[in-house]
Amino acid sequence: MERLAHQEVPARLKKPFLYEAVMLRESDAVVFLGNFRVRNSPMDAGCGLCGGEPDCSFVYERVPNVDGIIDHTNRKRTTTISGPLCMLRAHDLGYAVGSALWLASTLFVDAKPCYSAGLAGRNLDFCMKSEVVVGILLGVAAKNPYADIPTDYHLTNVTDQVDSLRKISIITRQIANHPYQTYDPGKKAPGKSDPHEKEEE
Amino acid sequence: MAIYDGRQAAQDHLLEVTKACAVAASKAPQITGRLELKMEILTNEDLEPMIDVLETLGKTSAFQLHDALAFRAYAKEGILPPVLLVGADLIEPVLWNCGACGFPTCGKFLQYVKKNKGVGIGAYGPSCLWKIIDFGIAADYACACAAMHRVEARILFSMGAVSMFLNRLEGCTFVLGLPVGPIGMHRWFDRHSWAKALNAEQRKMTQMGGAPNLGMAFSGGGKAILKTKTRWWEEPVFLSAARDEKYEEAFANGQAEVYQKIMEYAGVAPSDGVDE
Repeated sequence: MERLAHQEVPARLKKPFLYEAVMLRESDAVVFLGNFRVRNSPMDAGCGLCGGEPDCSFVYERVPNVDGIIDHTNRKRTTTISGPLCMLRAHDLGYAVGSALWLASTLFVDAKPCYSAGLAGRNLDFCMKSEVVVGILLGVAAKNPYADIPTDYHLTNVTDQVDSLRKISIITRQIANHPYQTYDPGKKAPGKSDPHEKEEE
Repeated sequence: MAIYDGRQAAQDHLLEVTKACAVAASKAPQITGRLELKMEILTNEDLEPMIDVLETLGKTSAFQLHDALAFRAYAKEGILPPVLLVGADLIEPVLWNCGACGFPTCGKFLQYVKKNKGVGIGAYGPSCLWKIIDFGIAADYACACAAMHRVEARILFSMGAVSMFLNRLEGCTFVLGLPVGPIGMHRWFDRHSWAKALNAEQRKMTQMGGAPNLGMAFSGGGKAILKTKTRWWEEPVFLSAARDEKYEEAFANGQAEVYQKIMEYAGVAPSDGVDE
C-alpha cells in the first residue's frame, strides 16, 4: 500500500493509502472480498449502470470476448483496474462487503472497507480471479484504530510515537546513568525530601 | 391503558422499522467516504403510481410482473408495507483514476458522460465503480436492519427503477426500493400472489430459460432434444436459436405503453385512465 501510494495511485489517494497502511498494521486481520463475475460474467440485464444504455453493449464493445463470452484468461491491464466491468455485479459485491461489515459491527469488532488494502491484496494475488477486490480491515483494540486520525498519520501514528520514544529514551538513560547497586541518586533529588532519611534521623 | 390489535400494531410498527432502516443505511461504512445517499419512505396510496407502472412493465417482463402482482395483492389486503427508497448519484466519479469504468482517467470518463449519459432498463450510466460498491453496502445495511427487527424485506430493483422514472429522489442515477414488511412469513420469497400467475407452460419456459441444459437430451447428434414433456421422445422438440419478432414487437409496444404512463404521471401527456 505504501509503494502504491508513492508510485502508482494519483496524488489525491497518496495520503489515504499511507494512512490506511498504518491502519492495516494496527489491524488483527484483513478479509479480502472480490467478485470474479464483475469482470468475467456480466449480469447481461441491460440495467444501464455501466454505460447508460438499455443493453450491455458498453461492456461487450470494449472487453475481449467471443460471441458474448468474456475472455477471462486475458489479465492484461493498462489501468490499475481493467474496465469496463459489470456494475450490477459490482453492486452485488457491495452487499457482500456490507454483510461482512454488519457482522463485524454486531460482534463489536471494528472494521473498515478499503480500496487500498483490496488493491494491494489483489496485486499480491489474493482473490486473483477478481478484477476488483475490497480489503476489510478488522481490529480489536482498546480504541477503534480506524477513526480519530491526526494529520500526517503515516508519520504520527502510535507506532512512530513508540519508536521515537525508543530512540530518545536510550540517550536520556545514558546521560543520567549511575552505579545503581551502591548509590541511589533519587534520595538526593533537589527539592525532594526522602521519607527514609527522616526515619533514620 | 389501551388494548391494541396485535396484527394491526405489528403492521403499524413497520413504519418505525423502515425509519430504522434509513438510519442504518446512512450509518453504513463507505470505501469512498463520498457517497451522498438520498432516501424517502413511501406508504399506501403514494405507492399506487409505482404499482401501476410496474404492472404495465409486467406485461412483457416476468420479474417486474412478479413484484407488481405482490404489491397489488398486498394493497388489496390492506397490508401494503412502507417502501424505503434509497438512491444516489453514482455517476459523479471519486477521481481515483482506477480505470474500472473503462476509461483511463476520471477526466476522460466525465468527458464521455457529458455527451453520452443515458439510461438502461432501470438506471442511468455510466457509473463510478466505487460509488456502486458503496451504494451496495448502504443498501445491505438497510436490509440487515430490517432482518435484525425480524421484518421480512426484499430489496427491489423494479420498485426503485419505477420510482426513479416517476421522479422520486431527484438527481439520483440509481434507486432501489426496500419494502419493509408486510408482516407474515416469506411474503416476498414464496409469494401467494404468484401461485397461479403462470400457467404450466409458462412455468416450464421460465425454468428452461434459467437452465436449458437441465432438459437437454443427448446432444452428440448435433441436434439436441429439449425434454419439454413426459414422453419427450415422441414428437420431439429440438433446441434451436431464432429471433422472436412477435415478442420483440410486444416488448417494444410494452415499453411505449410504460413511457406513455410515466409521461401521464409527470403531467406532460394527456391522462388516459390515470387517476389524478
